[in-house]
Amino acid sequence: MIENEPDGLCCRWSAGYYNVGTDSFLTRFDAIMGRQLGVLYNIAHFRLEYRDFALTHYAGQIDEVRRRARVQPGLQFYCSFHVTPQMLPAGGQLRIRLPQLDYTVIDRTDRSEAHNKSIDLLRAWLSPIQLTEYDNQDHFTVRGSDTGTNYRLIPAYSYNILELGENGEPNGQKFCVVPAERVAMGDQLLAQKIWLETDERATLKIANKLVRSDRGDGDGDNNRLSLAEITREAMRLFRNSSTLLQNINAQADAHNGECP
Amino acid sequence: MMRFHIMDHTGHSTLEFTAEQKADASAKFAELLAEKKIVGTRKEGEMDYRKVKSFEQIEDEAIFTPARVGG
Repeated sequence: MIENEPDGLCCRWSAGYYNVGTDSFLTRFDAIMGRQLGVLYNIAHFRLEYRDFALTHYAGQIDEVRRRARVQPGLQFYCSFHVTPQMLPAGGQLRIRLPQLDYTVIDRTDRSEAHNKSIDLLRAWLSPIQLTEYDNQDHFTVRGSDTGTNYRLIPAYSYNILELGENGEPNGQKFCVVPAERVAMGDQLLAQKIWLETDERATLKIANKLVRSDRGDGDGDNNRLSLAEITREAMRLFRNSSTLLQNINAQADAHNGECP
Repeated sequence: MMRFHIMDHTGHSTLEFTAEQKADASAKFAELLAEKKIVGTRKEGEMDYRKVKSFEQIEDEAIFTPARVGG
């Protein structure tokens, strides 16, 4: 379950954790936890009471994330709370284990020399339009060499390539393809820009893909669309196989007729 | 002056070659191309990213990106 808040933070329940953070972190969370759990969203234990519990008892920490995100919008912050059924009201009593250690606010800013060098190189190779976009919004748009599709590259180490729809906004399709060697963020973004602008098809062919709606309006629409497409493809294959079997049977009958 | 930017953990290394070192640059290009798979170039000062196949396609500056893998 994803909730988009007015100040740009995203809140989500996943696998018993309530996460509040900027989108870049949640993207990373998807890649890590989604792979470990084998599912993207594990909300089997989700109950509205959990959310209310977290919002009430962790309000201070959530406000701190909001405050830091407003002050430094280009950075990534998050806090994560583990909520279990045992922590919820039981028998009229609230059993609370306030896990102070479960709360973290992480400043993921990389201020290393390598990072700064890579950003300088990236900025030198961005087009004027891309540079303006990057300076103002901390991301930039590239156009795919084969399909002309626009992609938004955001500074994150996984699933940071967001496909844009006709309205210029992310349509929920994300890609993850990165340099085989660990490189600084600026170098990674520049490499991805070059790949997409010169060899889009081959790049996306090996990319990991994630289809999801981030807009909060009709979460899962893309998945339903994909399911419909899969169903159509399955029906087509079935019809083809049925025709093939009929042809084989017809050939077998003809063959039997020739050789009694 | 010809510049090769090679992406690595240091936030890229830059190799510079003078006109007299063209043979050295060509040899290094071949070595990097074999390892790094893809190159971005500038053309006459403008952005012109291409998948470079020969040393002669590089006018003044090139970026060598590492091989790519699914994230």
